[in-house]
Amino acid sequence: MSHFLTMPSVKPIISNRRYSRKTEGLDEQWAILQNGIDKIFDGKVTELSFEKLYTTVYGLVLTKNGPQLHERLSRQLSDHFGKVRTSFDGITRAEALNLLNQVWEKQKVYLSQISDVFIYMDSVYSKRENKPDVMSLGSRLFLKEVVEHVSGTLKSSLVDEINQARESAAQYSGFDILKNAIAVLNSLELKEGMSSVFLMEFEPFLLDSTEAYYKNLHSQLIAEQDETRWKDFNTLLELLNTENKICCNIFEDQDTILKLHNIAERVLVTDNIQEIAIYNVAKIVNSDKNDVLSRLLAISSSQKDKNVIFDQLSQFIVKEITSIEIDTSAKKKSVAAVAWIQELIKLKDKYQELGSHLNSAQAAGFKCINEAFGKAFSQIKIFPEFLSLYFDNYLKSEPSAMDSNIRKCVQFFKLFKDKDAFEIIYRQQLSRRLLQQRSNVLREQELIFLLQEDVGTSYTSKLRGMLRDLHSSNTFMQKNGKLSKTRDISVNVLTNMFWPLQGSDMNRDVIVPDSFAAIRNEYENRYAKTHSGRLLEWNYHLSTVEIAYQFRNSYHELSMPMFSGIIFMLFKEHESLTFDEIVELTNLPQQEVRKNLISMSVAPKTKILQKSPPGKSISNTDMFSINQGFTAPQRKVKVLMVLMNTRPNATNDSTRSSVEKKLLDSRLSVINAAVTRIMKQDRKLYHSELQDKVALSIPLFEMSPSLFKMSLEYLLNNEYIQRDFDNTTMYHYLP
Amino acid sequence: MVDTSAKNPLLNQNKNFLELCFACRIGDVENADRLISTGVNVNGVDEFDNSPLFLASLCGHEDVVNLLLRRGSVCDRDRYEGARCIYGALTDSIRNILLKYDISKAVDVKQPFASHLSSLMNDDIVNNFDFQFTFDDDLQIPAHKFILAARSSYFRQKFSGPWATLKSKRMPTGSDIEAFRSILKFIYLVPVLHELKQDQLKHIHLLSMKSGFPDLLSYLDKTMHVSDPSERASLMNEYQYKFNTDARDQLEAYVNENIFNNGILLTSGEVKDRHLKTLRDLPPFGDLVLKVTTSEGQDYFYMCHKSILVRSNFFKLMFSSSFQEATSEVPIVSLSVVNLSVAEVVLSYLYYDSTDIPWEIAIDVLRTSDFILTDRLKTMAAVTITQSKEFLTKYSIFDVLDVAWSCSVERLEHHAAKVIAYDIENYINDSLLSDAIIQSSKRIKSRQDTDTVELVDDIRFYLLEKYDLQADILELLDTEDDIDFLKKSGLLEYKKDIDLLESLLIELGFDI
Repeated sequence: MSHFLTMPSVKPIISNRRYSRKTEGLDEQWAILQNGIDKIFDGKVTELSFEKLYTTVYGLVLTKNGPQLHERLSRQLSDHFGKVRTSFDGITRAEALNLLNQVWEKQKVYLSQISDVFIYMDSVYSKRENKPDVMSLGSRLFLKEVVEHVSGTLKSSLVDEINQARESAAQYSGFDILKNAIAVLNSLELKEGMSSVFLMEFEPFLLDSTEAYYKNLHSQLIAEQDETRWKDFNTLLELLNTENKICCNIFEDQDTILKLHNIAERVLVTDNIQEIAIYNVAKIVNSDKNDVLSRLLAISSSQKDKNVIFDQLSQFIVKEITSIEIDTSAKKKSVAAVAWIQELIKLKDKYQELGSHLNSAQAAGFKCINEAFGKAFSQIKIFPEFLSLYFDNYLKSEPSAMDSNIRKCVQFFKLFKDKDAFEIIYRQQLSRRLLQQRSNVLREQELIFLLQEDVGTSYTSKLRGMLRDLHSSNTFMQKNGKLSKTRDISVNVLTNMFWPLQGSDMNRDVIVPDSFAAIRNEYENRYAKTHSGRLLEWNYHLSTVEIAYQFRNSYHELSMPMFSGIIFMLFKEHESLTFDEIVELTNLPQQEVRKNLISMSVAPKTKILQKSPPGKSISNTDMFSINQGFTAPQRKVKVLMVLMNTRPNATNDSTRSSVEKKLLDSRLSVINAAVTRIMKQDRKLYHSELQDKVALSIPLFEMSPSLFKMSLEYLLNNEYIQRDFDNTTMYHYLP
Repeated sequence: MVDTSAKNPLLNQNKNFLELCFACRIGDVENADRLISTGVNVNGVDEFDNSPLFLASLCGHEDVVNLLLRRGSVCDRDRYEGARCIYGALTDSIRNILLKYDISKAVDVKQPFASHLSSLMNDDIVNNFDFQFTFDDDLQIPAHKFILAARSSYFRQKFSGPWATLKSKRMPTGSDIEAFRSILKFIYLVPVLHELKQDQLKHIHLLSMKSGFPDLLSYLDKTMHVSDPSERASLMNEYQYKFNTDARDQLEAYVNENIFNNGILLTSGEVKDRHLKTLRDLPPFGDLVLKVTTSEGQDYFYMCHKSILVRSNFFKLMFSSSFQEATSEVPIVSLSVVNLSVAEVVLSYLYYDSTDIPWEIAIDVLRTSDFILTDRLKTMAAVTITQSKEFLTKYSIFDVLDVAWSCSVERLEHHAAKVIAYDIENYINDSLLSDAIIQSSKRIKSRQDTDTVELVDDIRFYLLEKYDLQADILELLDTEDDIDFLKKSGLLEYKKDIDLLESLLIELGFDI
């Protein structure tokens, strides 16, 4: 089976040890090596025969004297380093560090020579027995016998020198010595796989001393005459940069540099971040240098610190915005609104500039500024109205092109959280502009387009519907030709749900002149033919009429609200009428008649009716007739509705509160829908989870907890959802 | 049998080549290395048209594949042989190695001795140039006399004749220094063919005529008519391979003639320094005296070259350090050997990678190479011991075990265990086996939960191999009682051998 020739009769020749001919004992052999090592340490290596020493080591290892050899070498090296140690006596500071480097460099050369001689021991004995080779044995013994004994001196020297470098910064000249000494310490380790002695012993010491140094520096700065210097970010930045520069000059290890930097940063910045943030934010917002925010953020690497700064900045911005003054003395609200918004734009420009120099890592700063604006807007109740008024003002001025301020205002809109509140106000103003034809439809469309960029098309669906209504009414009119040969009639059909209209009884009750009634019926007939099943309701209070009349001295075309027109037409058949008679003939409420009569008979520029007795107020028995003597510079005269000065604020407030009520209702239903939708999907959720999810799904306004609670109550009562029996903070969906 | 040699010029039925093919099949990377170093053509094929690379690739021996590629095996995927290696690759990793191999970039694959020779061009270890060629503007190119003399008969004559006393030779004005450098690179076996520039060719042609390099001339002639890059690369490869083979032969001849033949035998007394100085300027132009002391107590003195001896770590450390030997001009270094042929084997290895080790002295070569820290030669010697069939006629297996342990050669430990296992009936009564087991038990490196004696473990392993058994079949021994089956499967015989071993262990006082 075996293919080997087996010859067990051959006697082995193991006993014939040809390679250990030298029969002297270990001691004699060792004496040769000891003498060699001594000579190497004396720098007399050239006198030695490599061959002789190598052969001696080889012989000893081969005769299984490895352990003794290793032992004796280790003892010999220890003795030698013990002598080396004495050269450190009485030496401190830079000299000690320099000496460390010099001594080690020299010993390394010696060790490498010894290592060459002992190579056979290293590669055969040490490797097999897992003992350190000569180089690592030597460096460990050097560490143990030299470095550890003088480590106190070395540590204090190191700290002294580094502190001196910190103080004299650029002038310091000993960087190389420090760097070399650190490199030596970094190359020495106590055991295989252990961290270097620098990391184990020196670094912790350095960290402590660094902390002490900066604490001391900090209290020195505080004690200075200039009370603000310790918290000024320029000072801090400079200090931190110096620390970094010094560290980079001394240490190779990025870890150590980072640790030291972090200590300096913690002592100087993080521990006082609140005060530093307050002081510096106030300082930078009005600075004319544009990289200040970026520099301020650079003083700390910790996100927490940055957040404190952002927090301060945000608070500051909100304060600035809310303290923009509202001009209450202005006659018209729109004037105050325009002035206010312009201030706001200036503010925004300022912060835009401040944020524009942030680097990509500091992009959070930009977000913080924007969020602060949004936060401020939510705090200012009048903001949506003012913003809408600003747009209103702009559109009424019939601009030829979009200006940059409008774009900024659109930005404001995007930052504003309660977008639904804005929509209600904007819609009212839009309807007024459209019906009174006060703006360019193209511009309206343009603005709506900009607004919907962020919130989506559903948000502007009503606004766009309003524009569409006007367009389709026009087309309908053009298709069907004239309603009357003698009169120009234009009718707008407004879809009820788009327009913010409040129907009024007067529209149904008013008695219109026959000639007008005929035209109305004609239109209704025609409309019914093309659009069956639609109910038309006439909104006279939104309409205007134009009546041509030959006064005694001049001919005028009078443009006036529909109700004024109806009243004026009465005088076609009656010479004069009392207030009561007019009320009876028109079937309008007294309040409305009085409003119209004031603009026709009291307003100085449009006094087309004569009132007797004359006076500013109108009583039920006053007589009215056409003022034949009326004259005006232009042929076209516009009879404007005089605003009743009685209780103007009350009406304002009531409309506002009604707006708020409406807003609340619509929000509630949005939340209800969102809750139901989410619950249907997830089946069961905890209160807080649900709240987070709902808040995320609502883009148009910020959900307040009370509103959320109201919604939940409603849904619980109506059994859309159900509380968990055991856990009251959990809800279940009821299908 | 059809005479296939007519069909394929690469067919090689040389014994070493066939052994190489076998080593490639079984993945014996060390033996393959040894065989390649005997000078067999790694791109040859056996009678079935299999190349060593194909066999190693097919059998999935990645380290052998790597070795073959390093030693100049060609894997040209545009040719049938190369494509066959790639498609036949057993593992993806081998296939990737072969795919990555690019024939045009593979010009520097070669034998270790050639690599070493090339590295001497910028000899930075001992820096022992002993000749300089001076060109215009006093530009100088240093060189080693012995390498020039070994590689070229022209230089050999010059150094023995007209240039004998010169340290530097001024070249005729207008000589092309770059062309000369290329020739020198060729001499030093630096792969130079791919970097020859068109405008130098004329000078190179001239210089190779003068220096006597017919192969270089024939390459230059052939390459002129080849334009296909792949074919060109093949040609370069083929010639570079030939250059290396030639260089090996030249070095072998040079070492034999000049070093071995010029060895001085002195039975007693010291060599006079004066005597050595005169040796310095004669062939082999050595810079080191190797004093070889045989076990008979005779001293032989050989002139050798530091530049070559530094291939051994022992000499490298010696000459790159600052010890006495490194600082003296012609140091005398002693080497104790059993007889002269051991020293000659070692020197032949260092000079030209000869791995031709007679089995009779393999153990001594192994010990010597261990002493001079030359691991590759040590491995080669170990391979020789395991491959030799006659070895055990003169040596005991316990000699092998002894040298295996003292020089840490795992291959020999296994070999010894195998030999013992295959013939355990004879060895079991040999008291030397008991000694060896006790010695092995003392070699336990670090204590573990269950200490094992390595030698015993190895023997158990080879007992399984001996009867072609798997470890998991052993439980059948306890359960199966079908004697016929046990007999047939070899389990019974295995049991017999194991029982022998275990009874010995119990006798020696081991727990089993």
